[in-house]
Amino acid sequence: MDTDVGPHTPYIVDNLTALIRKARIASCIYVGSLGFEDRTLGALQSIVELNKCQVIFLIPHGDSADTRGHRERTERQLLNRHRVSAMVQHHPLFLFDCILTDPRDAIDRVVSILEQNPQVSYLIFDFSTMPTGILFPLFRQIWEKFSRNIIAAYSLPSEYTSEPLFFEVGEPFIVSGFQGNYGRSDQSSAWIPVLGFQSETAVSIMKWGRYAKVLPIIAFPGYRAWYVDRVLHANKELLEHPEVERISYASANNPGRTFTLVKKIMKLLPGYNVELSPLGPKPQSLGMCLVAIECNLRVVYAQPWAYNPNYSMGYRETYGYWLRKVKEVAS
Amino acid sequence: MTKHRLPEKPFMDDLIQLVGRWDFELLSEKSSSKSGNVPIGGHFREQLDFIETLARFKYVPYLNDELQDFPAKLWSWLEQFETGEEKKLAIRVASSITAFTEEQIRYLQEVCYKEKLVYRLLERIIARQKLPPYSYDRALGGFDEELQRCLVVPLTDSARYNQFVHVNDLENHSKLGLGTLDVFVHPDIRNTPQAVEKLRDRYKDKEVLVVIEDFCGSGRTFTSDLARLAELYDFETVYFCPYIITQRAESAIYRFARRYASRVSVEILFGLKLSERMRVFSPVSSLFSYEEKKALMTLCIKYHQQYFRSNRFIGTPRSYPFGYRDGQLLVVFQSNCPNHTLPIVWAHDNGWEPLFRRVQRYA
Repeated sequence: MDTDVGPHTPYIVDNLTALIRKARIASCIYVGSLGFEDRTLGALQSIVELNKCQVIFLIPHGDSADTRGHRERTERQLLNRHRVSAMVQHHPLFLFDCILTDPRDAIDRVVSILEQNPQVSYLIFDFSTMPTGILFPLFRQIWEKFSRNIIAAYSLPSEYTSEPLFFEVGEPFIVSGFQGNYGRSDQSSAWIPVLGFQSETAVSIMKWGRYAKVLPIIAFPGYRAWYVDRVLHANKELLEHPEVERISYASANNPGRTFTLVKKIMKLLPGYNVELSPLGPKPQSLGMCLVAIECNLRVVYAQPWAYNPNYSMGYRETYGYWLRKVKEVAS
Repeated sequence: MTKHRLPEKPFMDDLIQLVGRWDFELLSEKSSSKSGNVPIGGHFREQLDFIETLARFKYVPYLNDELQDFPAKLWSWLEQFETGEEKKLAIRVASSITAFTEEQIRYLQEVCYKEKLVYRLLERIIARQKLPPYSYDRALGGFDEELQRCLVVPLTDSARYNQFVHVNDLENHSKLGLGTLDVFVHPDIRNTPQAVEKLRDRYKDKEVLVVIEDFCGSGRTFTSDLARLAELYDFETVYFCPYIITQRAESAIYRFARRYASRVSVEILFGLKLSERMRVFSPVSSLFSYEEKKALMTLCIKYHQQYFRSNRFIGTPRSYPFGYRDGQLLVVFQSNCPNHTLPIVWAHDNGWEPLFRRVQRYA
């Protein structure tokens, strides 16, 4: 399973502003997702200071306007759009609408801009508020097609409120581009989900997948010390299933630890078709995305239709993860 | 992490009945608006459910005892509180506890080393060899040599030195560490200059002192040793790696290091930090409402007076009704309960039956 395409260790994790300064990055292409949260513009604050950069924002939209909190989300997203325009006055700015259920067109447009700028050697991929259904296929395109330095950026909010992240969840589906390549379809399936505060998605995928083995991951250390306890309680019914073998931990803010852990768990599952579900913190989703690409695994997700506009407040800081491929470092 | 079946004992049913009655009473009081009691957050059934989840996944085995009847323990603990309002507060306390299993502690040992210390050592190599920033791949070549410049020392025996070495795949660790920090602080019974000189000579190649510890609640143990270390020995850098540290301990250590140990560079590489919000009575804590905090303070003082006044660590002459050095925490480890947690949770003086009995390390 070990190949030369995964991220090189030791992983480079630093504050994004410090990373840009220390690595003396002068120009880049920035790709982000324009959401309704304040932190959606966190990484941009470090980017606009550069001499040369091109800013690309995907603007995610659901299929329906008939969802709880739609108006408030739209208003906040529009406000953030105005803020972006004000911040990015001296750099080229591209805004692409992106349908959550079918992001292919928007992804193609991003890829097209990247292809037109081969001279730019740094790509800042801001996944702070990027919906999973867009993050995975977009990152795969970027990771597989471009050899330039990819710096993934993740902004933390000042505070999460005690309100839920989402209200309604759709049917489980296989994430575009992550069907997985399994030699034998008659083999049993094992499921490695990263669990979060809300169990609705996990429960629906568990029913959908009929997995023979389940090995969940919980973020630890997480946003707060009590994070694990809350996640355990939220998912207690799922965790009572006999298929659940053991629970593992991986740091919430380090995609590399999730990447390493999933690969380690997979060694316990020879003869199983392994499926992944990123239902926890976003940096862990990125870690899962890297494993899914490297090992060509299936990724299953259930799309929340109505995100809570009051889920987080403010912006605290941005982490930068400099993702270099093993083969690039070796060469 | 393993799941435990809770024993099918009547205590759970009793508890469910009790909290059901409280929830019903609260609803009736709200509708009639006649209550003169302190408003204690309701939804007691939800709180009991949360306690039950943690009992199943985390509380057993506490103190290595696999056969514990947690609901029975909770019931006996609650029974000691004299009034119904106190019992309600006690359930709020029990449902606000944050628990850390041995597996979590092991993971934090990895965080301290693999996510922090390794990078500090790589940065030292990069600086020494004048490599470009983040040239970790090139710096790795000199890592073993750099590691040999470190001395890894547990602050106390609860730091689990062997476990730290094993989970982090440290080979040849016999050359890396030694007993506890006490070897340096008290090299012999009289702390003679000859004994200090002998140690200085033995470890003259060690530039970095790595001090590991499981929990740092106030920073007192570490700071009391730090001044002496800085005064007597020649370490360039001290990395203090507590698996869990409180925010106030972190601030206290940095403040102390600046004033009394400025000759050495001190950095704290923690696994997890408990913020000020985790201190029950802190103005920034939202674990309890303002009214609940006031009522809980009164309750803690009352039972401290009745039961814990003679406790060596929290009793006379130092009176800490809210935990050692005014810790105000609600934190429990599977291996023990820190004395910085509210004493009603862990103390077992004068017949008080705690929820998580603390085993005292020191004589």
